Amino acid sequence: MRIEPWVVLTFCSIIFFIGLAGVLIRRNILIILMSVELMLNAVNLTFVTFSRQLGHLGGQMSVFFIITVAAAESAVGLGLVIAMFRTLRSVDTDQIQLLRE
Amino acid sequence: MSYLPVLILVVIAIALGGAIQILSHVLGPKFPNPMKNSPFECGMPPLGDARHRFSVRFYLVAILFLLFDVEAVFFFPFAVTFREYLGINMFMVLEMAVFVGILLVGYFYVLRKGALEWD
Amino acid sequence: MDASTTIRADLLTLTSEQAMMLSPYLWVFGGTVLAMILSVTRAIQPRLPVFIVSVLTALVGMVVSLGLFAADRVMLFNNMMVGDSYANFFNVVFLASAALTMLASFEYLDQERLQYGEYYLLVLFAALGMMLMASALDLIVIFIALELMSLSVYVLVGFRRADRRSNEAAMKYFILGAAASAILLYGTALLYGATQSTNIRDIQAFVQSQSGGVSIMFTLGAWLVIVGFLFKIASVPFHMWMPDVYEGAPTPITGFMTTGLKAAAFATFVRIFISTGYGDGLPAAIQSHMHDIIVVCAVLTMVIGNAVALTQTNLKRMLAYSSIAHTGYILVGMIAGQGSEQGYAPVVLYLVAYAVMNMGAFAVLAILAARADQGLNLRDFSGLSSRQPWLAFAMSVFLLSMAGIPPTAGFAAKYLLFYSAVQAHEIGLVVISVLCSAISVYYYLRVLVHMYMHEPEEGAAPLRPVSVWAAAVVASMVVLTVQIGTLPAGMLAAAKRAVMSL
Repeated sequence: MRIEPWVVLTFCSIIFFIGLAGVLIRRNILIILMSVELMLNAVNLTFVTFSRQLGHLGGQMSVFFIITVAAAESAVGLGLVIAMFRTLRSVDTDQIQLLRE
Repeated sequence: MSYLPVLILVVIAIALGGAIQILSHVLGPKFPNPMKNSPFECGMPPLGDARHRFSVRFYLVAILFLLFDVEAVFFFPFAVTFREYLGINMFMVLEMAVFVGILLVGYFYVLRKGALEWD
Repeated sequence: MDASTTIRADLLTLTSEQAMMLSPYLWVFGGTVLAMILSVTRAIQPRLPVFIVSVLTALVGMVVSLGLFAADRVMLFNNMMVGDSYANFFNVVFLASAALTMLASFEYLDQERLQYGEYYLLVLFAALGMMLMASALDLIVIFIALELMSLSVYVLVGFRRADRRSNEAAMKYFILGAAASAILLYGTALLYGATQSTNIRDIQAFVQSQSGGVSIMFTLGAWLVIVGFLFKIASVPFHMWMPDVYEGAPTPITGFMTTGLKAAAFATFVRIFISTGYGDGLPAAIQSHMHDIIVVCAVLTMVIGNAVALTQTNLKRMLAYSSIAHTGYILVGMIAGQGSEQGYAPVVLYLVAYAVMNMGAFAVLAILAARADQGLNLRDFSGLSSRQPWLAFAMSVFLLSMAGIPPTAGFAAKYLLFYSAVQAHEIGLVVISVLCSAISVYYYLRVLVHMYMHEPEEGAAPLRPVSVWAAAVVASMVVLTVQIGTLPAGMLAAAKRAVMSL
């Protein structure tokens, strides 16, 4: 069975927007971080799909770099979560309220 | 048919692993005590509430592992193609040397910062 | 899929021109690595060596870039990067802003008990990311450079680890920044699907070849990339993060963000903008489409930025909204670029002028900030002229410059920017910009009134001594502000040359 590229691309966009919705809606910072990773992985999948569809290796090469950057990003993000937890004793974004209008 | 070597490898791996397990069970001396009989999991009590807190050091090691592990992804495309490029000049090897050098500086930094010391 | 196995021998060498063009990047990277090793060398306890090595790295890198400014364009790494006057011009701006940030920070970090070597390393890494960003021609390289810059700055924003405001600012910035990067990247992926390339030159060639309009996938991808950049430059409606981050970040880092980060995001945006949406030879439909989007963003950014700044009492927050307003003016210049005789040179000049006056203003704030960045409210500035006459004078110069009053850099830059918009027949936009500019005078002058016409507050905390480094930064920025304001021709010529090389 051959899976048409548009099916995969639609699937990717759905994952991407699930991730985006997660960033905007969820209140737990760890879940927000996971949602960001979801967005990046949806992009990876998009790149690979296009690479396969176009017969062009550039997309797969891009994925290598995105994976690495995503790892660095999650390391920094989790570090910030720990720093915040130490002062705030919470990972709930509703508690972030010192800086406001 | 081209996957036959993989199949052979799988069979050998299972046979070797199984043989070592069985042989050490049959031949090895046994001095059981309660501590040794308890399941082992990285020095933590393996039973109990899964949501209890554990040391932040685990996390630090995991993050460092993640970072250095992901860098290895760049070695694979290099390893596949560098032979073809060696005929022209050593530029690609030089590039990889720079890449490894950067990783080593990072490792040196982590080491001297004391991030890998447990105490 | 047939993987192409042809070996590109031309990629396996580095010509002497290419090596020359790469030298600022290699120098800054080498210096950063050296500082990194120094920072963990146990024999050296005081952090002074790391500080000195870092500052020297940035300054020498700046001189090298300056030397390469007049060199011809060199393509690097299979057209993924380019070394041209534009890139070198901005390299000078980024490295200068990094060096000045570090100089202004030394005393501040001592006071806050945050004197860690990592601070300087992260500033240098962020500067390196900016340099790569402004010279990248490939969207993936831009993404990696952007992340190198952003990840360093996320940590710098949260550098006051024990302070809740700093943590919250870093967390907010990280979440929104990471989401924006992901959106930018998704746009890149869609552009790749539509055009078979992530290189902006190839994308430009693709757009030029499409006489009958482009596919929906291309449009969607371009939109997402633009949204990513609008977020990074903090244009309305993607500006919400900026005031909070500016307020929570350590004061010198806020200065670094207004100068380096903003210039980097704009430098890259202009490069992409000219080649894929607004340059010569592109279909008129795409150009007018882009024109309308940017006009709406520019107007909203100017109006909202200035209007909200009116009510702010914290100076850092006020400067954050003023920064949003200035983003709006620069967007006006980007719209006008194609239709005026100066082209995009006023945009570049404005970025430099804005960087100079903001670097100075935040250096003053870093000196005045009481422990834990408190005491930057308007009433803390009451009677500053009698307590610290020179600092009050310097701050006045910077604020007048931001308001656009002659003979300062802000006036010259604003004049040229609006003049080019008039030439491009954007009269409506110019009227709105000038009105907004007039409104902004109110909140800038309010600070001056507090400094010169109010008595000092009862029981105000004594000011910390002014360090030599910070004083040097402030003094040089005052000189530069007045110099660009009175004699803008030299800087404008340099900006023109940079833009011509695009």
